[in-house]
Amino acid sequence: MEHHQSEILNPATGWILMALLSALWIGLGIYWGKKAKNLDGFMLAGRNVGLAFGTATAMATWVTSNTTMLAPQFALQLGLWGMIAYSMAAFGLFLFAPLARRIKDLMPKGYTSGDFIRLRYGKTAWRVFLAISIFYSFTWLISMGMAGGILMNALSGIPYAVGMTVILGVCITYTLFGGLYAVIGTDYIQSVIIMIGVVVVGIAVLSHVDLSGVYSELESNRPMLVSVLLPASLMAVFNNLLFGIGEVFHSNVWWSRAFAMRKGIGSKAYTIAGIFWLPVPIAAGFIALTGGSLGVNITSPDMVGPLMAGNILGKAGAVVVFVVFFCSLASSIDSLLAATSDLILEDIYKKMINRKASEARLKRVSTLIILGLGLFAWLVCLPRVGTLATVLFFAGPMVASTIYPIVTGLYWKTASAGGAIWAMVLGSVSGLIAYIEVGWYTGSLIAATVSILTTVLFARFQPDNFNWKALDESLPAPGSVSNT
Amino acid sequence: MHFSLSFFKILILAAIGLMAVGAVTLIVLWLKDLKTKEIW
Repeated sequence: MEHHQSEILNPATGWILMALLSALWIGLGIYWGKKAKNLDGFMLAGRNVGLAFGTATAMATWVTSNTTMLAPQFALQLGLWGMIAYSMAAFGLFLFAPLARRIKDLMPKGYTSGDFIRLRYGKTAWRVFLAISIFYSFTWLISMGMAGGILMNALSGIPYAVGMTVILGVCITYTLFGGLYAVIGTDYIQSVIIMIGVVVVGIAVLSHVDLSGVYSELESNRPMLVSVLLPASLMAVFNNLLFGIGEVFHSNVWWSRAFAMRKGIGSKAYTIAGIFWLPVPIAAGFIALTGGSLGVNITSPDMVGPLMAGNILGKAGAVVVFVVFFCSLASSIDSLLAATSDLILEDIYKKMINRKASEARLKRVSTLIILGLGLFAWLVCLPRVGTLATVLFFAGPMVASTIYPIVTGLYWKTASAGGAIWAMVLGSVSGLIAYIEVGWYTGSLIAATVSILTTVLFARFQPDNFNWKALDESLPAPGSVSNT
Repeated sequence: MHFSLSFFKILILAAIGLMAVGAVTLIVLWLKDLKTKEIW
């Protein structure tokens, strides 16, 4: 088992906290799950989610354990630019806000992002998109499951396999009982806890350190971290911006929320969520920079946040950190389980395998898919292979290649199926080559550049003339759908 | 060329302050939705 610096919480406290939080989320999931009377209720929370829950679910889902673990690591390795680079992922939420309104207008009865690609670009583009999207969802789910085990182990000494199993098991249970109602309801409470927790830890750290002293220590001992011109960091800013946009634009996690929110809510909810997500990586990341002035030796970069909080704040700080991490893990895992199972149910089972399935049958299959996804994630997480960042970042170029096919597909009648297919294929391949040959911080940048060029060239020289009404499956099918 | 001390301080204090405002905003939004029965 990988060695981490000594845990900051004793195992008994860890077990108690884990049991209490597990019981709370499962109880609330069952309570909210009673509202899910039909498949629309289970998959999309009745399509009537208001502003408070809409904002909170977007925020909480986007605050993952990666945000709270990798932001301090970014700060430690790339300095101030590193924290700012991580914050750029907020633009995924900002820029998705107008898209959420457009999606709700064009597809009032839609279910998934796959529905959009199938109706807009036809089956070949749909299959390429599903391969990218499902691969990304798996990598995100697995990285969260692994993070759960590693964090519970590092924070309180709970064995990796137990922590990972509990966090996955709890999320599977309440998602099974309550579908998106349970996911969004718990997301609200989790996001309030995360925000208050990070603020409490931030203020407590500030009361123990002098920022002028921290700055002086950095300037004299690690000047690179406060440098304005650090090429890798500057590239990381743009790379993270595009990775974040790609993640949000294509993923059914965000599309399902756009479908679930009441008409007129989506745009506001994503904008507010973006504003309040923006500071999270900075508020969570700066703690890592205080290590030098406090004389704390960092040997495990992705654990620098919890380690510093524990060192500075003692047991109370450690408890807050544990709760914040548990919430940030649960709020992302539940969303991924729900949205990925929707994608598999709607796009693979219903559209490819059994088009005439009854609602009762679809609900049963949905349950099996959630269980299967959870079991698959658990099996992959069990051997504890790979590191957190590399697993997820590998999907970066692939998701960045989907940005322009989605944006142009929503706004340009001329965006074509050929353009979408080649943009995703060429963007992914070139981005992965750049990722391997140059560095992770260039992968999404190259993928998005190739993708936009391809999409625009096809729209210019082989334009489609798309009929927007074809996106609303509740209307009678128009004569011509797309050029595929 | 380095970021200035004031930029460093403003960045961190603004981030923590904005998160505090965010937490309060979420609670206020919930109270408003609760009052108008528009939570779900």
